[in-house]
Amino acid sequence: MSGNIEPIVQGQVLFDIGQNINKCFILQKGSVHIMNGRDEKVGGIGPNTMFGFTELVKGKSEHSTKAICVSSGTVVSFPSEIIKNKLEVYKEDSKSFLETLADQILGKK
Amino acid sequence: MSADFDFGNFLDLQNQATLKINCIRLFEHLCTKDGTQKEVEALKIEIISDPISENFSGFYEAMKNLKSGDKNTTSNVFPHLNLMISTLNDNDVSKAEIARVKKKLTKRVEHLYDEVVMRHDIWIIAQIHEFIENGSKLGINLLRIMDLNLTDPNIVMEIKNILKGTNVELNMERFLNKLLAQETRGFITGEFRQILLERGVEERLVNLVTKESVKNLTKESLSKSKLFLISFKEDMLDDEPDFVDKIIQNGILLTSTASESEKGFIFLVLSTNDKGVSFFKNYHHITSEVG
Repeated sequence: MSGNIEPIVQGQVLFDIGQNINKCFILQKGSVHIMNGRDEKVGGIGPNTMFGFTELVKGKSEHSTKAICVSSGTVVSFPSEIIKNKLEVYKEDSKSFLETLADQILGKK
Repeated sequence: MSADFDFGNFLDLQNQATLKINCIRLFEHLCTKDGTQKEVEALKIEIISDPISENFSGFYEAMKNLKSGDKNTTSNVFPHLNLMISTLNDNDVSKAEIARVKKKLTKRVEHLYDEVVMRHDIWIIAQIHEFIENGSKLGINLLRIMDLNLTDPNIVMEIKNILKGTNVELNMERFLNKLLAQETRGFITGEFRQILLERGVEERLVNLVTKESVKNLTKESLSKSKLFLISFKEDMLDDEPDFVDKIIQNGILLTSTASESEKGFIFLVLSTNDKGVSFFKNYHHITSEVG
């Protein structure tokens, strides 16, 4: 019992590089761009997609990308603790797979 | 209660649409009172037993507490239903249900104007307008009037008369502005607000300046006195724990808020005398003069 519905508006920064990951998101309506440190787009988020959690898979607690709303809409946010708790149940071999996936999503490989 | 979120159920669009349909039907029953108590209760049970509902504690609690025919619990449910309906994904059935109920309520809402006798009735009308048109100006203005929490019973009748008249949207906005001008609580509006904007204060800060903070100021003093923006990090208070007290002693605090960077504060302060001005200028590394 932890989800919140939040409106998002064009230009709103949902999280920025270096910020602690306190909450993660599911985009319901609108669109969001994920930017790297050079302000280049590294990903686009469409409706019904989870985002803002990839670094947690790598065991990091800070965002390495920035999420900016490009068209207004709604997100469902939830505490990052939920993802952390869910990740704890993965065994080492599954974790390694998830970490590789996270690296790819974050554009590091 | 431990924090959890049922991603499996939520990310299934069909599940979202099913909950949405039940929310639309409950909204319809509560507005029109066409359904029996049994039907309302059945929809309530469907909604609270839906695994998606459990992900949203505010919505879940409001639904669980809903008692058919009880004004307080019904009023509480409406904004949750509206938010859920505008957020959840659609399928063809939910789209058809939305269209059907919007059509029905659009026809019905004017009859509800005739039945207005108390604040609760206005609240429902506001929620119906929000349902018919997400972000409806009339709906928002009615809610803003409700938020003023005014106890004068004539206000309900004035609203009723406006709703039943012509140029409803325009006249409701005028009525709201009249009430806001008389209001001593809340945030500044009109000329006081304009003065700060013209002095170059960011709108997000102007929006936080309360009427209380400017109650002893004239328009002239607000436009001519020195205005300072003080921005500092939380750890400054470790070295100077009475810094906030000093700000208040040396100026009139118009507003304060968290800074956009983490763990910091912004204070907007008006200084009406030379002693205050020199105090703020001494902190030039964290203070900037506005306007």
